[in-house]
Amino acid sequence: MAEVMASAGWRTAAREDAGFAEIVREHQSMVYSIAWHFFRNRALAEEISQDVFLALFRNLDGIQSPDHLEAWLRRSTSNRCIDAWRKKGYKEEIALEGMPEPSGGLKMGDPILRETLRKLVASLPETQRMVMILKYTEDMDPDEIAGILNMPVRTVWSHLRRGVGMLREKLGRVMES
Amino acid sequence: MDRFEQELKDALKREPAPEWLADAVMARLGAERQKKQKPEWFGWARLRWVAASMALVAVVGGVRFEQQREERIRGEQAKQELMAAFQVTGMKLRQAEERVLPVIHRGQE
Repeated sequence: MAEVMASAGWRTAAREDAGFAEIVREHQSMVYSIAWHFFRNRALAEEISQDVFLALFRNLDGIQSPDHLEAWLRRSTSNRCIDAWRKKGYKEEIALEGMPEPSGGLKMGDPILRETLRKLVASLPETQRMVMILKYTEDMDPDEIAGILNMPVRTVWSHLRRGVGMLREKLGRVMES
Repeated sequence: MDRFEQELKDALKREPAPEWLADAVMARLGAERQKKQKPEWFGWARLRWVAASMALVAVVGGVRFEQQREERIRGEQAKQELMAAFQVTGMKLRQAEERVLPVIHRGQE
């Protein structure tokens, strides 16, 4: 991948099967993780990931640089996840899969606590959930998140504050139970 | 970032994608390319078949038309020859009659 992207003719290389496969391998973890944390469903995450990379191949002409490519993938994945969620109504599926089971005596650093947190994130409203994923999985600034989700920065801050607050509260209840 | 947020970051860390994901993407890409090429190929092939069929129909039709035209001409010729033969026969019969009738009349007298 580094070879493909470092070369001046990276777009030409990307159009070749071998070059594009390298790009997929380089970014698949990022794309898949965003979809996986959003849906908490492997089949859906795989489907969205494949769709995103196919769309990337079709839009290679519009990609100006390797950095732009990465940003394009994040934006495309985020928007596809939210659109798919709204269109197909995966709510019930996630609601059944994602409800945290009551478990007492959880401490910070506990793998069960982390799994509970993941499930709690998956239960957030879709836009707020994506903001949280971009912030904590992709380590992005609110400015960058605002650009990707096409919303004002203050709305991103608001989603983050409310999201974290909601998760603290829900986790507190789970830990007390 | 407080301890809770650090915990959140650890919980939401990147997951490894399935090993086969890149292969699946490339397979779908290949299938998409084939799909794009197929209708075009089928289009040209169909066009060639239609053109060849039309040419064949035109040739067969032309040959058949020519055969029918020749048959018609032959029929007309045969008809005319027959008519000519009837005319000749009629003329010969009249000439024979003209020769025979005076002899018959003389015999009766």
